Amino acid sequence: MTPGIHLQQTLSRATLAVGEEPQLIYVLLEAHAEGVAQQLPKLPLNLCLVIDRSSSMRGERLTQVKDAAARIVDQLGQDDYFSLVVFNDRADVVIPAQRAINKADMKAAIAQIEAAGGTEMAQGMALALQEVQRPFLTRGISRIILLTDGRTYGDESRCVEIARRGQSRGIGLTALGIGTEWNEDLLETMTASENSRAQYIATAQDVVKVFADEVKRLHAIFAQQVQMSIETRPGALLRSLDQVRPFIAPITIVEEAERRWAANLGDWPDTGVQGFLLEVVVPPLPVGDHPVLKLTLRYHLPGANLRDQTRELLVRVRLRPAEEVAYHVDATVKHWLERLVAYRLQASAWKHAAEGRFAEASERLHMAGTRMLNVGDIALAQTLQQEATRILRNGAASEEGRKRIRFGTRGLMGPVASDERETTT
Amino acid sequence: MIVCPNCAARQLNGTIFCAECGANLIDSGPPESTRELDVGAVESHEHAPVSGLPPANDTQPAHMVTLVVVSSRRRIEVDLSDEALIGRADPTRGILPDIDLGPFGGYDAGVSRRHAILSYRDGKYRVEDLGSANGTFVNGRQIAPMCATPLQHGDEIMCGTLLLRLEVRNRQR
Repeated sequence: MTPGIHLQQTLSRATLAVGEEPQLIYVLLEAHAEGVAQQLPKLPLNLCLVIDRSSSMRGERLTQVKDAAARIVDQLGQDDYFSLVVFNDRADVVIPAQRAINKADMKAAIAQIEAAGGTEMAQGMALALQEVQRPFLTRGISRIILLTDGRTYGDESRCVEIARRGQSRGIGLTALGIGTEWNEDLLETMTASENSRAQYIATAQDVVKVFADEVKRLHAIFAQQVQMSIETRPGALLRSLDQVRPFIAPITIVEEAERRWAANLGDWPDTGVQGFLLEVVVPPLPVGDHPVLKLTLRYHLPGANLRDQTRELLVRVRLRPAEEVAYHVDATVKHWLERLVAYRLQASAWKHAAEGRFAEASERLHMAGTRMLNVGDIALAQTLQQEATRILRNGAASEEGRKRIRFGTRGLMGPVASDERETTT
Repeated sequence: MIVCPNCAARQLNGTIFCAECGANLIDSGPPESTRELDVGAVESHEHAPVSGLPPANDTQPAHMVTLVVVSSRRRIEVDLSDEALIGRADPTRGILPDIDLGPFGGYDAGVSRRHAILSYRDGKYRVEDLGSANGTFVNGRQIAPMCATPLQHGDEIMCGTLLLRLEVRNRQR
């Protein structure tokens, strides 16, 4: 089989009733690798770990982080590069960028890290960007993994600027927050780009798994610079495009030309499924089958030395006379939409809360709780209900509750639920 | 247009969750058009508190369950007001199971045409293997054929090698 990306579509309704009004359909787009695992060599990894070693990290947290870092070293192959930067009030390079060959020395250096001092993240990020750009890779994946438990003061804008500089050069950022003190606005802003994400680690025990999963995922990347372009038929409108699997992420869509949108989707691993939900307004159409969208995926397969590969998918709607159409909604589409709606509701809740509209904020959180309950996440539903009450009473949510909600509704809390696609069954 | 019964926002036909307030617009029945809707009734809802845990319009009757095909995360909604046959459709033999696993890789996974029966009676969910060729497993353990085995929310049912998970909405918390 030629290696590539397989695309599958599911519509919220298989058949629409003919009518005089525009209608909304939801399109679930699921993509996974095909014919890749056996054929393509692994891409080399160029990883820089940036660890907060401020005094608040002392004890369990730093122990777990050091353990996690040592295990990452074990996971790396001879073609992979590794570097390690620590920061408190200042930043130091503990391991300069080098091939992961002398693993014993690397681990000895990791073991000597001690916690002390404050938190000045920008210096750590600046050194990390410098280290990660040392190795010369003709192809591969460069990534900074940042872990912090505290707020950095005064250098937030510099942190964002350094993150953006890296991202513009193809260096993704994974920002991990541990505990309840860190600034989630900052980490979310720093990672608001394809190939980047922030994640909430609620307990120190999860650190090792989160690190290991991330390295595994980076090792599995096979397609790079995935881009989607979407053309609509006249009268149709693309209302939104969001990633829903493996986690929820809003995607920036740009209307490049009349009825043509484009989005950057980053690098993809060959494990698991990338799922997207599109909201499409369909204009009134006569009985028949009508194409409404043409999706084109463009990507590189560096492991196979293939550039600008494309896959196309035509999305059609079937229209029938109203009396012949039963109103039925696809359960899978509804499930992912429900998660997305919960995420959107909590985002709007924080906006309302910031404007002092606590009743509206509370209502949004309540409704998000209802949505999460329906998709089966009872723990998060309860957190949402508690914080809805708290915000109404105190005018603010708790630090921990807000983090649980912001990252939990996206599916980015603790070890991310495995979203592996088993092809054998 | 549909009018959201929770916040009275106007939404396009086909909308599943209100874009304003997030309320479910479909489980309360087929969508109503603006022309047929009683506007007075909508407005009387306006100041009703947003639904809590769990809201009235989202509770599902106990006989409505979801089977999740674990490998593909596909969801199959099943009405167990009558018992449901799990199997693989074979129109030439006139076998049309209520839960057709054919489209989910049922043939390769060794699902029989008449594989098992899923039922809900007296507050209990059960699965009964119909002497299928490759067997039915509940949480990894093979169940005896022709013998109804009780199930709970979250249980994994394997037909041949196809793994399904039972999801019950209005479970006890």
